[in-house]
Amino acid sequence: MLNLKAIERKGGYNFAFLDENTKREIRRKTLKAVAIPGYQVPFASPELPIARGWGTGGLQVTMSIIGPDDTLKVIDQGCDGGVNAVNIRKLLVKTTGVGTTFDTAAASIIQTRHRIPEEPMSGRQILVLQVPIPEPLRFVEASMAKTREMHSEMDYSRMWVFLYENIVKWGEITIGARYPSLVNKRYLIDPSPIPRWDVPKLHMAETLYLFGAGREKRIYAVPPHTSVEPLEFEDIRFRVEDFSGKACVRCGSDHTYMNEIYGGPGGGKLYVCSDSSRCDKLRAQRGEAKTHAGK
Amino acid sequence: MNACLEPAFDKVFDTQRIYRLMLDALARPGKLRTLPGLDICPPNGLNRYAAGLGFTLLDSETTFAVLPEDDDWRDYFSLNTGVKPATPEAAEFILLRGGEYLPEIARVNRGTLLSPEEGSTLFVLVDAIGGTQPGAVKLTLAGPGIKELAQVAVVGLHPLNLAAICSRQEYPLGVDCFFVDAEGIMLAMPRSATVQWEEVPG
Repeated sequence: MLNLKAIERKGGYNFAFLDENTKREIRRKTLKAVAIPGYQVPFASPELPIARGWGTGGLQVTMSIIGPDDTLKVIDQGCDGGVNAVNIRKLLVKTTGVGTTFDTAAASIIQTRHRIPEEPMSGRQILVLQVPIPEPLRFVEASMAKTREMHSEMDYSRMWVFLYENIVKWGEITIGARYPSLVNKRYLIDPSPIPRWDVPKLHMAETLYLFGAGREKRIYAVPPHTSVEPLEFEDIRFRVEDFSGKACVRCGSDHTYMNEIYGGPGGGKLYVCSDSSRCDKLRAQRGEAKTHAGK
Repeated sequence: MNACLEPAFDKVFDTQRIYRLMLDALARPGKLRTLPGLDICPPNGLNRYAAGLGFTLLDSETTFAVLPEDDDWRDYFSLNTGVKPATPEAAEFILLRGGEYLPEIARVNRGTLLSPEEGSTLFVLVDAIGGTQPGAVKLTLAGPGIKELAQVAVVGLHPLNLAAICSRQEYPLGVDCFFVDAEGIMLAMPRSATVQWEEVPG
């Protein structure tokens, strides 16, 4: 039996840095976010030792849910070694003492910047996404008072016109990351700057997805088994990034989301998995020496 | 005031583990979670599991009502959390005895289209969750968080209260419920769930 009283406060701070009043407010707002999937719940978003816009929304959500027996994984663009991931992990470990992992399957909480892990996640896990811009309608309307009204009336007509004009001008929808998606057939969300590749993973998933926007002071959620439909037209369908004919130079995988880098013979393009943990796992399975996470 | 302070309740770690159970229950309506036993002594008739839910979410920035009105219960939460009493129409959190018919439920706050999150959160005390004793209400839930359908029987929930709760739901407006029984079993029913029910014949 876990003796909770015996756990020391870490590093002179309260457990998970935030004071209990702040955590409680985030918890109340997160519960409402889960009860109204896709609706952006305003929250106080106080100052943190990391500047706003550097993952403070995700960080506050993580701090409000994390407990001493959690196992934490933090990724930045799919990579456990990215500078943002390293700093957020250090802060959380220093103030909670929780164990960390690079292995997607072993984590109970994963905080992420701009990717959903390639490996399928289970119902015992929570994915916390850092969100720079929570408002999908920002493309078409600058006023937050106005977009709030548009959400309340489910008036997404200007977004549809925006997508249509995109097609007229460029022949296809040019939004790459941050692809606007309809949650539970009611609220349009910005799924954070995850690539299109990751959007289908939100639909009818096993995992709870929590979105935190610290600078913009919004929390929203996609519960498990909830419909998430990227906006598309009957004749112009949503499609994910195309990597056909390409394979990762490290692990050989041809069915993961890959980064394009220059560095091949004669300055040519190379492709490498964005999800470093899965890439390392595949290499280990093939018997190659396991390298530290990093691109 | 007869209420007593509860120094044994750990405001950091007890709240964290109770909150995670609430979050999991709300994200998966119909899934039963067992709340931890707490070393606290709430006033007569109030079970310690429901008290734990209140300690986890209430503070001086929130408002609270008890149905039917009970001064001991209200004072107990005010003393331990600093929560401000409010009318059932205005309260953000409402603790109610599910077995007694409470017409006030039909007037609880369900938020506005601009701020649907202002809809109340209800903590509903019932006798037992799970099992199919005569007189139980069998709930069938569907919606976000539920793979197909979730079915669960609740004993000690007045069907008129359930009807009143459902009458407040007009998604995205509505109220979110946590049912808690005498053994600490918790069931969540957010406004996003569609609810059907039948009474198990007695």
